[in-house]
Amino acid sequence: MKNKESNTERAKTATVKSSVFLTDKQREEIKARLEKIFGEKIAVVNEIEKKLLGGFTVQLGDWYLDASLSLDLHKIKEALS
Amino acid sequence: MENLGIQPISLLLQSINFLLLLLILKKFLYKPILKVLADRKKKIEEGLSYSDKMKSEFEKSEKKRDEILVRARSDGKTIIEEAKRAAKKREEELLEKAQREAQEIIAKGKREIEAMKEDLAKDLRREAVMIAEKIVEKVIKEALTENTQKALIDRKIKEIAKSNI
Repeated sequence: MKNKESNTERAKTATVKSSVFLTDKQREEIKARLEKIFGEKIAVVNEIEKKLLGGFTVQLGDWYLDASLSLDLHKIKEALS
Repeated sequence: MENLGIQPISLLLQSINFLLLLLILKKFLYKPILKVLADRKKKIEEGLSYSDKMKSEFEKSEKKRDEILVRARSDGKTIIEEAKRAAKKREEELLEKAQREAQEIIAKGKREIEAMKEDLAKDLRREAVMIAEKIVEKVIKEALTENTQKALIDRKIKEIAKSNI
């Protein structure tokens, strides 16, 4: 997992990309987590991204969280190279 | 004297004749002969003296020549020994230099071989990792069902919660 934070103004809608559609429960858990982090109401939009292989990423303004399987695979690849 | 048959006058005349003859011989024969003999003696003495002198000079020359020969032999021997020493030293230097260069070439060759081996190993590892990555990606795509994908997302959400992001 990877995240980036800055002081710039953040959008209120977070884009969550995942290899399969999130369940309602998953969407709510992610939304609650984001609202806790940023202390405000956040809307969540879910998009399909097959390249992630598994897991998901979150983009909120310039804040970014990578919890994808492709990142795990990339880390393993870096460790082996 | 007359009893002895000696005539005084005749004796006197004979004596005068003898003295005259003696004077004449002395003046015209003995003196030139003596002078010739003296001159000859002088020449012989001069010749002998010259001969001695020459002999002495020759001996000196011989002695000097011998000294020069001895010195030349000694100098020559010294020069040859020095040349031998210098040649031996030069030979040792060249040998040492050649050995050093050979060792450097061998070491350089070893380093290059090691570098090539490392590069080859890195290339092989990189290629192996790339191939493994492709295989893993393919396997994951084929193996993960929708349910397992959702389970994976659940797990990631839990991990995020645990990591206090």
